[in-house]
Amino acid sequence: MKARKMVLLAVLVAMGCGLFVLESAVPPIAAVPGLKLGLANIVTLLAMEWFGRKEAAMVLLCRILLTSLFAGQAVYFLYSIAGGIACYLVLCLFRGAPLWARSALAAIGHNVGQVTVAAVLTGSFSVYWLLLYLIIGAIISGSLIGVAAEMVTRRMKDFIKGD
Amino acid sequence: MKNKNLLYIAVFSAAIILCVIGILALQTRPAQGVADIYLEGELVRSVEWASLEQPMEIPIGDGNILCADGEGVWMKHADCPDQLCIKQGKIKGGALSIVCLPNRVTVTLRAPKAEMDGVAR
Repeated sequence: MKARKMVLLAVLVAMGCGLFVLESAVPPIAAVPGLKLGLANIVTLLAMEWFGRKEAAMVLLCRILLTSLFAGQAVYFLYSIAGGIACYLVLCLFRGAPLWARSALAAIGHNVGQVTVAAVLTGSFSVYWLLLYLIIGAIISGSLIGVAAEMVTRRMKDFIKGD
Repeated sequence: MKNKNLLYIAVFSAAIILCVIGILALQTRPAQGVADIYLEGELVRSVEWASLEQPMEIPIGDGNILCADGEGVWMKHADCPDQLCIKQGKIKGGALSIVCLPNRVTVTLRAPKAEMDGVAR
């Protein structure tokens, strides 16, 4: 891997961790467990847009490992990894969709993955009702984050290709 | 490209409307008088809160304290950092449970069993 690419990927991972910490400082918008902005997911989108599937997976895994260390509780790792994998699969599946829509779909995938882990851990399927709230949040925040990723990509196009 | 954007906007709008309808439908469900408390997937206690006259505290495991009175149940204490289950407030009906993800506690409401109704009548 070229040093340039490695550095860019590392910057994405660092940005993801920073956004995660920033986001955990924001008080929850509503009392729905799991409802979050998901700002950190923008780096997965960017890695996927700029480089490809393999690189996006690397950025995602590194980010989840590091942020789980920050979060402290082991159970958060399970939620993050389940959400991350589901989100990643959706991103790969909907390659033809415009970026903002892909982002929203991936956010829904993320929530479905996390609620599934919650259902297994709590042994109660009633947590799936949470999805009604989470899907609304995922569509709104996912689309906005996707639009942000589009804007960043447009401005960074020349830089990413190399000079 | 433009058509695709429109297609996804339509799909997402429809999904949001469906979710809102679902949430509204859940909120109109009548109160359900029994709270089932699950800890790590196992039913540890059922509380008939609808008939309570005094508020009652129910410790769940080591980390949570649930409160119930005649008007609903709510989480009073949790030792987790996010405190989301407390912010969920009082529930009395609907399908939404109180969930404390870090401690793996869920409190779901249901109607009393049929034979209980018979006794009450």
